[in-house]
Amino acid sequence: MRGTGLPANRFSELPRLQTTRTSVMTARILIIEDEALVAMELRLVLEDLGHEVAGVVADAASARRLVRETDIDLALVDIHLSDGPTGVALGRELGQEMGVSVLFMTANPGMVREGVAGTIGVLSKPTEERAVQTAVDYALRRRHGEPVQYAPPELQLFG
Amino acid sequence: MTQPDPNGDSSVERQLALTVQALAESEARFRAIADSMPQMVWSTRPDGFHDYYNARWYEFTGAPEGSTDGEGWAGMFHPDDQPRAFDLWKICLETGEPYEIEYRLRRHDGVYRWTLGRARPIRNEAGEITRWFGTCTDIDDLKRSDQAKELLSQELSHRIKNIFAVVSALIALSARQHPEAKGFADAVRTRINALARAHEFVRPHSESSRPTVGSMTLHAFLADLFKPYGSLAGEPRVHISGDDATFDDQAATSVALLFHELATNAAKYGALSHEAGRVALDTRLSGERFVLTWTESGGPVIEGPPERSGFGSSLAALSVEGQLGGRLERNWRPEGLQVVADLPATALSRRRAAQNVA
Repeated sequence: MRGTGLPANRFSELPRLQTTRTSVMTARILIIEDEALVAMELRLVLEDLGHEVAGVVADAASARRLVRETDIDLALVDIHLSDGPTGVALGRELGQEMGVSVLFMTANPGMVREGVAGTIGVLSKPTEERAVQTAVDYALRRRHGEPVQYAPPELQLFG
Repeated sequence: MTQPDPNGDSSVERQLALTVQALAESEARFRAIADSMPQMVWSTRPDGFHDYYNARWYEFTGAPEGSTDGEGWAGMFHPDDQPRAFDLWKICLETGEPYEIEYRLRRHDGVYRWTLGRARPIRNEAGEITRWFGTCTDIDDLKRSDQAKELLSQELSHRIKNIFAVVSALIALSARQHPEAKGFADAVRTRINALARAHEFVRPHSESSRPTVGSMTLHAFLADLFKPYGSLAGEPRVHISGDDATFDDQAATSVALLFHELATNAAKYGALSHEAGRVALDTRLSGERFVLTWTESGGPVIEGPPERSGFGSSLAALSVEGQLGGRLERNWRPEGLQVVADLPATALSRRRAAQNVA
């Protein structure tokens, strides 16, 4: 599998920040992102929240392989990956055919302005930890059919 | 003619011969001009029936002479462009409006080339259309270089936005080594995030490069920037009104920093620190000035100006007075802070303004 080049344990000695745990549920999350630093930061934020990051991949083929091999609840999908702007089609496929909840995270939200079938919405990068936390929480609540009153303001919903 | 004049026969014949000769010369002149043009030239009857093409048309298309008369021309264009061309041509024939279209024309070697097609009607003294004259110009090279430029600028734009994300992540990762610096790191990150957001809304340099120019405005950007400060129900708490504007990359940084600082300050100490607090932001073009008025209400009572002003205030002042060439005024009213940024009308799009003057 093609990762982002940074071994996960490189940062494991870093102190974890004390984050208030507002997430009611934890999940297995796949990060699909080709910028190693962005992926690492996202991974640490998600792990601080108690989630399990099942993998970090940088291209669409690796993402598909990993999703077939293991259970993934939620995928955070960048649009421009190491194999080109393949994120949109990948997100649609994961959401519609592979039973994964999908949130796009991109510096170019204009690319999915019209929405993508089978996916929840898009967060603009860069974003704050709190926005990631509330957006992930919102996505997981929807996945489990729990009542969601309001979507986080930073999350642009589709459909 | 009813009653030929018995004495005038020879003079009428002479006249006729002269006219025919003049017409033949005129026609020869027209053909010489038309055939020497680098463009393809064609002409139709008022009903749109093609009955003339110059030599360049036959040379380019490789079509046998006369084979594209009538409606045969339509088959020379790319099948995907034919309905569009046909519909527009029909409208022009009905209304007499000039015809102008970009479509792909098949060259003699089978390659489709982007072509600019234009036609104008010729009218008689009664105003009736007697003919249409049209041209086709090969613009394929131009079109290709435009597309390449467009791709390149999109690619660059993606990279620029991505760099903001990388920088932001780098700061967050670095701060993990130094938990005591978390407050500092968060402040820097949110500023960088505001800059990144502003660059999403910068008006592109070429109008054609983005179809969504309508939404690339100051108000759209500000609404996006203030989203996190909305009420629990997601209703905006900063109400934006007045004249909208577009802004360029030179102004983006200043606009982003100014309103980021105002909003974070309001959230910490001002109106947005109370659930019931609100901000009214009015942007008004008046003559040579563009005036932005930020008015807080419903927050804690303001006792007076703060004893020391923070770095955020300096950033806001630097943005307005240093970068945008305007004036920044703060009124510490008991009911809430009011900030007035008074800018030259051209401050948000200086390059564009400079081009318009030149």
